[in-house]
Amino acid sequence: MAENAIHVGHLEYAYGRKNVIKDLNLKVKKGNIYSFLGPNGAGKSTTIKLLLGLLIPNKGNIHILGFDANDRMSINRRIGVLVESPGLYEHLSGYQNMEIQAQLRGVQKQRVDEVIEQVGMKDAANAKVKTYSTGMKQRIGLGIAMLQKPELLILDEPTNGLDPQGIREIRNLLIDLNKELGITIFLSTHLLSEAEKVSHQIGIIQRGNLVFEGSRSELQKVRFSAAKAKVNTNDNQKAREILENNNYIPEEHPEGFLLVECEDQKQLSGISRLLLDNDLDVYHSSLYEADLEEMFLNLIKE
Amino acid sequence: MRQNMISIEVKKIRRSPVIWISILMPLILAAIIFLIFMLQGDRLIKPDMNPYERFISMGVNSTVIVLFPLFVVILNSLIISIEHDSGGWKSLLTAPVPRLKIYLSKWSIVNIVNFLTLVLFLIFLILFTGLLAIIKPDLGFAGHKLDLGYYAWWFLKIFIATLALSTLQYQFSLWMKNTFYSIGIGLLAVIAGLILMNLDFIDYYPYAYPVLSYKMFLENALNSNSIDQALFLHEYLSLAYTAVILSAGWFFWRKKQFK
Repeated sequence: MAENAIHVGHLEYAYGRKNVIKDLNLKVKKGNIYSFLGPNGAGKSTTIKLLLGLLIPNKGNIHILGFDANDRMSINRRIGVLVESPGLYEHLSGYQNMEIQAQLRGVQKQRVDEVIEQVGMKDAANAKVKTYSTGMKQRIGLGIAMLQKPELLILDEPTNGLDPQGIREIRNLLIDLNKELGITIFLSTHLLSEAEKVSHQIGIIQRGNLVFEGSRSELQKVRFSAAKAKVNTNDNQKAREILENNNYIPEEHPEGFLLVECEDQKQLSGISRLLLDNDLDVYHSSLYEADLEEMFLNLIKE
Repeated sequence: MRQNMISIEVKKIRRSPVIWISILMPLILAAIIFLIFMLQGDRLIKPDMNPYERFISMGVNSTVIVLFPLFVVILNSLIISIEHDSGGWKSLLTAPVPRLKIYLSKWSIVNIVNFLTLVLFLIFLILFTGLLAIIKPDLGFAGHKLDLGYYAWWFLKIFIATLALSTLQYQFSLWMKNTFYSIGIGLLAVIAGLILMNLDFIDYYPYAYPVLSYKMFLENALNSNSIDQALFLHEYLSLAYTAVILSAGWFFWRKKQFK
């Protein structure tokens, strides 16, 4: 039995002359939730389409649940998929769409009712899809992905178009599916906060390159390496001198407070203590976390 | 896992414009012919004529030249656009169904609807002759026999004649997301067929086949007073083209990438 649900080695893909995926390696462990993180246009959807056989790689190999990517039937029998838009027939109802997908996958009709309930679409199931909001379509799409009780879910931006409440519900649903049924989940997202909330593993893609792959705590370390301490005291001029004398690199923010290079919470409290010991009043000290863009820049620098 | 792909395809087109066009078009056309015969039937049917022959020929004549080939063109584009518009290819291709099965089932549903529309048209025409026989007995329907086998064979030949152009349009529809292009090509090709009709090589031009089947069948029936059991050359060619285009199309489509 393969230990990895997805194993991608040296994957390359070009749209015409433009290389969009460059020597990509991925390992998604069975039983994990893996967030595939990256800004728009980084190559997330292309990678997913390569995994699903919708695109054919120029180089590299893909194994899904131990099967070679060319063995589509063995793979498709075991996976649930949501790619970009959920691919629904707008002139039919959500229920009819699900019925069609169930029949395509050889799934009993009874399962359609179960899944519709699970994704919270029972009340709107008989309305035509063209009347649905993006979030409702996304739910039906997720339901379709779950129809055949897959071993692996591959989801492209599953919370796209959902309101905060919807995002929370889908997040909880995914966590439940993973915990209770042991389904491995590979999902792409451009939201760092989402990735951190649900994942065991996180991979970060930037311009077709995987710039980070590791656990959530490993990502935290990288994040803090890009973080700074935000400090405000009764005398920022004096605070700056003290910090410089102690090998910190402070800089003044236009709004008046100081930003200091800082790796983690421990170092942050060290900074506070140093200033207090020097008879300064510390009004504010917090970790000024890097946003996704800054973190990407940081990762690329490494 | 054995999915009944045809039943899945039927579920997709129900409640779509395809169904309405396929039912309403033959109904409206047959109704128009009916109205013409209601108003001017006595002028159209000469005393020595079989009124059924006159009525049904007029129905076929008025549709087979442009309307019916164009219907086949539009049918292909509409049915395939259901997948293009919804992004449905991605969910089809990630289901445990072999690509060949998808390719053949789509082609099949287009041509099943095509066939059923022809059958419906014949049924509507016959029903309207029944109505005429009751409302306008002086047109003489009661005195003649309706030779159903004769008309069924005629319509079947027309169907066979549409297969080549239908299979060609199927390929255009698969590759062109914008139905404007696939329908545009089909429309031009049908009109070109009418312009080229009297040239020697017309037997090799699929978009002219339905008209050829109509004309040759009628001429044959008039000259020999019997039904020709064999297919005409262009009908055999239509079947051969269908097999070749369908196979060649599969060769390319099986490797199509979905961006």
